[in-house]
This record gives sequence, structure tokens and C-alpha cells, in this order.
Amino acid sequence: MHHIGRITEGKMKIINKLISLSLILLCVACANSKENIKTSSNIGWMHGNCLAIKNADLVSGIEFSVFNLNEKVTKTTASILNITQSSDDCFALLDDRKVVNMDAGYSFYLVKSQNDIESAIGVLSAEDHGGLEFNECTTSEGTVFSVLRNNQKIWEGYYYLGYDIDATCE
Amino acid sequence: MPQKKSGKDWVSWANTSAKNSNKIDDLETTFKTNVKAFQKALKDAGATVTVSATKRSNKRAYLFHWSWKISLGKCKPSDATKMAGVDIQWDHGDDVKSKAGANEMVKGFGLAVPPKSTNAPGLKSNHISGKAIDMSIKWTGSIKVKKKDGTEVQVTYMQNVNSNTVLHAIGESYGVKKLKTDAPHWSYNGR
Repeated sequence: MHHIGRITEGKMKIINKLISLSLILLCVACANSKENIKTSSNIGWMHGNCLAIKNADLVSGIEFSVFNLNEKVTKTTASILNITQSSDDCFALLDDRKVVNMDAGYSFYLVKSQNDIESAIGVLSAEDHGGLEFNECTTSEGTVFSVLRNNQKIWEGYYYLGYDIDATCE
Repeated sequence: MPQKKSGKDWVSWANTSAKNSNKIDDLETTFKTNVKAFQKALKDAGATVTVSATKRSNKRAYLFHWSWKISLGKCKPSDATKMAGVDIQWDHGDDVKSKAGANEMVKGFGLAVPPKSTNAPGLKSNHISGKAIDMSIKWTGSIKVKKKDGTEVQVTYMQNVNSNTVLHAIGESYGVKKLKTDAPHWSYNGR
């Protein structure tokens, strides 16, 4: 009987350890997925004065940082005017591009900026942006925008252009 | 007939007379047959297929290409080739005006520009030759799709279609090959 009790106690210890390990792994996965959710709803790409972002809840007046992808990345600010589905406001909604870009889950916002915006990445979170790297390259018919922290990609966005170009992305 | 100078009127012209197609029937014959068979297999399995682009207009591509190059000073206006059916005058006789006219077109067409966009829009491509298709393929959960040889393959939906190698293999059995860098793009050779 004592032998059976020791086996049961041993098994319980193993089970407890497995449960603890599972909980730890679950917490790490949750933290990572929260990070993914946070960046996907707080970072978007821009072509002209239009922000494409996977967040349908932005209201007029919200200010955000614009990282302009010039020869050297420069930081300016802009603010949300209104959500839009019009190509008058937004190159990404031109006829040859609209279906694919909207189908990807983006919402499009007309923005107000004192500076001209050509190609940029918009970041809504107020956290310190130090240490972030902003990149852009082209694929066969689109542009890939990405943000890295400590050489790890934390966000990527694809902008379908609807015409053919030579790729520069590796 | 006198040529018409480059400028925003050519954007309007292209949007009526040089539009891209999203019709499968406009594809090159062999590729069209293959696409139709692949699409049928997907739809029979319960997927929804939405086509956004098939054959792109070579005239539209011509206007994109040269307006981009001229407006950005990548070539002289007189370097632009001619194209039958597009009576555009790129060279206004004044470099500033020539660039301005081309720039109106770059803006009107919404072309991406340097410093990061370093290559002009292409004059040739699988889309222009009718051997590529841009389409979204969607379903919920897992479905069983028949390859060309009739074997059924279970394929699970992935948000990132570029990573769905099971789906790619099914398409490839029909001669419709996935380009892994651009989500909607499939072609006869995967490029």
C-alpha cells in the first residue's frame, strides 16, 4: 500500500511540474501574441497623406509619429482626420489596388500633416521609439514596410501597388 | 494627328482606354485553362476565389514606365520610345515642363517613387503577357482540394497565403505557381 502511495505521489509531482511548465509557456505565448496584437494595431504604412493600419477604431485628432522613408529616415508628426474608402484621399485605394489592400484587413485614414509625406511608417504608440529601425523594399508588385527592434522584426506591412516592378527585397 | 503633351489628361485616358483586366478569359490560352481548372477544384472544395487582376494593359505600363523615369530625371524626355496607339508627346521642348507633365502622371497613377523605390514600373511582365493572375483564395478551417491528378489534399487556411505550401503544391499541379513575395500573385512560372 505504501509502495502504491509513493508511486501516486511521484506521479502527482510530475503532473504538477508539467502543469507549471505549461502555464509558463502559455504566459510567454500570450505575452508574444499581445505584442503582435499591439504592434499590428499601432503601426501602419503610408503613401502620401493616407495611413493604412489594421485598426478600425481610430478617431479624429489622434496624433502619431511619422517615420519618413527618405534617404535618411526622418521623424515628423501627423494627426488622424477621418477614415476613408476614397481613392481621392488615398493612393492605396486606387482602382487597381483597392480590393487587395482592403482585403488584407487594413483600414485607411486621411491624415493631416505640416510636412509632405511620400512613403512612411506611422506609429501610434507613445512608447520610446529609440532603437527602432524602419525599412522599405519592393517586391514584384508591391512594397514591404518593416520595423525592427534589436534586429528582430516586430512588424511588417505589405502594400499592393497593382503594377509590375523589379523587386529590391532580398 | 498631333500628339498630346504628357500630363494629367493621360491619366484620364488610361483609366478609360488602357485599363487592366480582372477577367480570366483575357488570360493566355494555356494558362487560362490551367487557372480555370485550379479555380474549379478550389470552389468544389468550398473555397471562395476573388480575382483582382489578370492581363495588364501594355499601354498603361508604357505610360507608367516613362512618366516615372522622366519625372524623376532618370532619362531625357527624348529617350522615351514610341508606342502605337499612344500618341503622347513626352518632350515639351522645355525640360521643366516635360518633367512637370510626367510628374502629373506619376501623381495621378499613384506611382511609388525613390529613394526606396529605385526601379521604374516594368514594360514587360507575366501579367502583361496574360500569364499571371492576382486572386485571393479564402475558406474556413480545412478543406479537401483535388490536385490535377485527382488526389485529394487536405489544406488548412492560413492568413499568410505566402506560407501555405500545401496550397501552393495544389496550384502547381495545375500549372498555376505561387509567387511567395506577393500575396495574391500566381503565374505560369511562379514569377
